[in-house]
Amino acid sequence: MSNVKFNLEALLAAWQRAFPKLKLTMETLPLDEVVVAFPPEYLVPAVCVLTEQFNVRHLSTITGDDTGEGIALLYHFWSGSGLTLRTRLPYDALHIPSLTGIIPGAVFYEREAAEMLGVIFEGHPAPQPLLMPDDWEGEHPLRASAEDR
Amino acid sequence: MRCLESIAYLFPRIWRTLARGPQTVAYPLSPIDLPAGYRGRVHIRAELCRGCGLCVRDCPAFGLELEREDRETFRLIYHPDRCAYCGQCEESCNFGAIYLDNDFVHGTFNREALIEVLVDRKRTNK
Amino acid sequence: MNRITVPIGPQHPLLKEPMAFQLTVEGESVIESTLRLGYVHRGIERLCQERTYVQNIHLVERVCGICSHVHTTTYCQGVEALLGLEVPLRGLYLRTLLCELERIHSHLLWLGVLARNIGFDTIFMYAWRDREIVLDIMEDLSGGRVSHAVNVIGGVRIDLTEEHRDTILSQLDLLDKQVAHLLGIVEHERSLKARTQNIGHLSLEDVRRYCVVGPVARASGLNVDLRRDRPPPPYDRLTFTVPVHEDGDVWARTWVRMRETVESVRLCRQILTLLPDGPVAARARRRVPAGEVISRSEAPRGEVIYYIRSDGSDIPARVKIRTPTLTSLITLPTQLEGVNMADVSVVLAGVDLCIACADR
Repeated sequence: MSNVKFNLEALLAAWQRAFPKLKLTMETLPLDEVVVAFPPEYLVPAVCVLTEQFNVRHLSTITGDDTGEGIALLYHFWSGSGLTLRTRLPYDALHIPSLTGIIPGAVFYEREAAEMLGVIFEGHPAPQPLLMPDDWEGEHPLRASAEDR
Repeated sequence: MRCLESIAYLFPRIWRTLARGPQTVAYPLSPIDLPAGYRGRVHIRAELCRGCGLCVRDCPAFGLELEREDRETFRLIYHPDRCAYCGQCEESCNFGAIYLDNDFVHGTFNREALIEVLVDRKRTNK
Repeated sequence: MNRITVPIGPQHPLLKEPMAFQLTVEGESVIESTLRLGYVHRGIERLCQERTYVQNIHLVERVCGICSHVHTTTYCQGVEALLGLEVPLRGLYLRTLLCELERIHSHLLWLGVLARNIGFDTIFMYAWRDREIVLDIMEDLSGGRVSHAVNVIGGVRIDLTEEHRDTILSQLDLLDKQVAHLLGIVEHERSLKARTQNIGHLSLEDVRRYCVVGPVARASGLNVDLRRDRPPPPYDRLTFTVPVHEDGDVWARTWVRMRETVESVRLCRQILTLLPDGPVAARARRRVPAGEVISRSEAPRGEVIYYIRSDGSDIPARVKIRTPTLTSLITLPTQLEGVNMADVSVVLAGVDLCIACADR
């Protein structure tokens, strides 16, 4: 974690240079947070740019959200102020490379997103359930289609 | 020297602790001293209740139920066993009808006491 | 030498909350360890999607018993931002007063737990007796020792009279003396230092790699604190220092937490002296406009982050909670490498685990 505030313009420029075919969209949320959206295959390279060129390495958490149009994954970072990278995985392609090679602290968050929503993080060192029981056989609990018990 | 300092610190405290006696209160044989804002059991000022149902909607523990037939006929039922004694109903009520008292909440052996009808209003005119 | 597997948990006298360790021990040292969570998982994130925003304030308070107020504060902060609601300053001051009181009570509780785990029961007794002063202040303010139920969306629902404020100030004077004495014990007591120094070491690089937050990170040299770095009002008008230590062992964490307690007492006194007049809450609509918000705040154990998505109704579409204990748990296998069996209890205590928070 660090207090040094990242330079947002420089960051957006670096991303645009690294992915010239991509059209970047940025939104500002209340409480001074910035969200940038990426397609799934660009997300891990974007995080690489963030960690290597800008030294933003504190991952607060990974939120998984069943929006009805796919599973949204939000990677929340912090460096002086908040930055979130958003991606959306379609229901028939629920896999994304794991971040644990770059940021080892992502282990637990990816395990939780995997068991709660059924996302597969390729390359995760220990993809066992984190919070659900070992013998759980029902639907992934945070899916919109899961029944109430 | 440190030894003397320690004894000088400890000795008055040991004496005070021994002289003061037990700090516990033999409830219910002696009175208990609860703070003024203590959150106790739910009560109603039935004449102020309009049956709007805001308390029912806001209760986090689903401890209140409203059975409504029409504007003048309704029953407000309270479940003390589900209640979390949080006071949200008192906060939500716009008419000051439902409130929490400031007394200790007792358990009971009587199952019927766990469903309490707070308001049972029926239409008075025909 | 033979390797034995020692299970600690899910039920164990060492642990206050259930979690399962499997320690592989060779002789007296731990070679590796695995950790299993989820024994107190109640599915609060899913439950939040089935209750209204108002009901969720009380549900979210029950994520943890020790840091309950900061959970409701972060949640209400997020929902108020979605509503575009401005909380009156007096309400914010009272909310922060309870946050700081909760920090004091959490650190004193933890000091007692650490003392029990190293076998020094006297400090446990002293710390918890002094914690009673804080619990009495909180009970007088809110009506409950542990579950305060003070926050509403838009502010708080308690208020202070002048004489109540003076009573609390005099109780804080007493607390000041007691906490100073406990800090002196941590800094000078040889047996406590002997049992906690050079155990459970985490370097600054480890802390950055595992994204650790809170006193565990500050004890390894990472100078971050959300109250100072992105101060929500009224922290921008209050003065306090953030203690940081470089050693990275259990003793450094103890020192950091005790110094934070001293700072929190100072903060409480400042809040009470600077308390402005005015209303304590703003009226909030029940239907929250569609949108998302990310709300962060500094709990006693570190950074708490909430992500709330609203779809325009009075029931949230998604509430995601990440509590700081989860970050400390990731470092436990690293900390336990090479530690003697007798020191395992010290390492577990040094991290200030709150499994109810981690499991939700």
